[in-house]
Amino acid sequence: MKDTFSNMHPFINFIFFALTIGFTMFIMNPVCLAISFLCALVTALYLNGKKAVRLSLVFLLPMILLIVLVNPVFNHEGMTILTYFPWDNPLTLESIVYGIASAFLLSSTVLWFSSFNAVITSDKVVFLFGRIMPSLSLVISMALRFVPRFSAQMKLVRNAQHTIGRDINEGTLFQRIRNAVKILSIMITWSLENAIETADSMKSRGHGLKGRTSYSLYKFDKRDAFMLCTILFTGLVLMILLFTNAIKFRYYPSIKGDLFTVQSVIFYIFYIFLMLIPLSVNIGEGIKWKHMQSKI
Amino acid sequence: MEKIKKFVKKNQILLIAVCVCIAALTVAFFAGGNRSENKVQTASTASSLSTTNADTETTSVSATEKTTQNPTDSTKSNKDKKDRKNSEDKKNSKDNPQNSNSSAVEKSEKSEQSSSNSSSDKKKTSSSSNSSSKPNKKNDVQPTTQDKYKTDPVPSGKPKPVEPEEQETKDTNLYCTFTITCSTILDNIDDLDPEKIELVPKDGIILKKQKVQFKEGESVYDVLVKVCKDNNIHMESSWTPMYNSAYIEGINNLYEFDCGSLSGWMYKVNEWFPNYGCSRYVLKNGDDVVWCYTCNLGYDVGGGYATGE
Repeated sequence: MKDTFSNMHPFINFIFFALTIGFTMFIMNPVCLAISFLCALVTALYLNGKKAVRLSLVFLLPMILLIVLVNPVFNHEGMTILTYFPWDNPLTLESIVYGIASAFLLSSTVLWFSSFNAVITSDKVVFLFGRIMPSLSLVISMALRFVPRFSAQMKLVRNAQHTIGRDINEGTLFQRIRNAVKILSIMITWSLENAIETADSMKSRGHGLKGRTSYSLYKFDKRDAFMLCTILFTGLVLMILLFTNAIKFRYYPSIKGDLFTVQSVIFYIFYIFLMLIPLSVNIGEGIKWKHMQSKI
Repeated sequence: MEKIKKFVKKNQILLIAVCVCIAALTVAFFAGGNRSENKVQTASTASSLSTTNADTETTSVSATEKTTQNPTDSTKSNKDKKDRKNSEDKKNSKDNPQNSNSSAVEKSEKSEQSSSNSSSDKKKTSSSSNSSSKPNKKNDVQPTTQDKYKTDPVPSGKPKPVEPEEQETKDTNLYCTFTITCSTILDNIDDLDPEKIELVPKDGIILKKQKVQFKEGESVYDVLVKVCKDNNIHMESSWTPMYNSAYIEGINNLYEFDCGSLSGWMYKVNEWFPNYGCSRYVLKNGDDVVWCYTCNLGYDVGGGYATGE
């Protein structure tokens, strides 16, 4: 699938995710939670496909169930007493509702982060933070690169050990353990040495020195400027509404809050608009593409 | 066998290290439990340094208070304060040394139990004269030690704590009066969590004084649970093994710390604030039980002596 949003300037991507994840983590209004969760799910499905389905079924669904069950057991606040636990504490409606809300808050945050990982790759991280904090961005990109490199090198070492009859599948239990420890020690030595080598070579090339530029493919064009203005404007409106308590909603001690006032409906509209930006950019581009094709 | 011997020989150091680790974990597992005795000992050794720093301040505070209260009140100092340990944690730093001080008290008392039978009058005078000396000396004149649930001696004439697991209820019906009030909040309404203002009744009385039937042998906690269920009042409690009692976190959704960091629920029976938890106070016929919300560690409801010196 085409991903036009990822092809935009990394700064746009970063600002979008910073705003979205920030709002998602701090707003407990049920309508906003529903909007954020649905948008996060759709975006993750579009960007990650099968991986997102697996994430939500294997990891998120059990997590939601766990939180929904656990919160009322440990949290007894709330005015509506449904029944009593055997240990004399009340089971309240408010704690159940709060459990559901926090479960959805957590899972939508996780979903947004899965999209974040798909869009903001390590080269974008280096591009974004390379100039502000060169050593940190180098460390981040090295860490991201570490896992795949480590497993590749591990395969090499194992094959080499296998040829001299020291694979972890051979010999008695103790021999196997010894072989495994040997391979692990080789790997650790290699990774430490490798990290120092990379750092040294980056230093000898003058990484992070003043006046050095780094090659990057990203250009900030008109489309990006337009998108940046849109995102910032939406974020500003949402911030203002948030600080005027337009979407105030409380769970304890009783569930109280006006969900559909004029201000809050405006907030919801802007919220949906912000969260659907990546999806609508991608789909809009797809339609445009088809339209142009048929014209030719 | 040969192979095992060889292996052991080769990895001697590793094996020893593993054994030591397992042993350390076992010790930590058993020592780290809820048994109060252990905790006291470790806490007192760990905090012995900080105790000395706070010596002068602590003792001077206790001295001034003793002059304002009668001697019986001042003897039951350290006790229920433990029950309210939560609220104390949030209190200013002054209290922490006080706590550790009291645990140090217990330790040294064990070692020098010789001069234990002095009267409360004697204690009053000597402790106030001792105010500039080390706290360890102060302990010499304390009449008796704390019990295993960190409760200081109960003043004479007041009922002794009864462990809930030993107490049996009989079928005899008895009566007591029961009140739940939070009128202190009305004076400190600015400190109250704004979401909870609507929960405070206008006169501050959550449950008007009423006659309550209970079975002989039931504790204040048992009766509170029953009363709250009958009147559909919300109540949350948590069992605290260290004090062998339930701790009342909130009644009517008014929780500890909701009205400032020194706030929480306290109880008094016949106008006396017991220095032990409500699960250990067994009610008698005609007792007058009042649960009151304090915004200042009990001083605003007249029970400051129960939460600490």
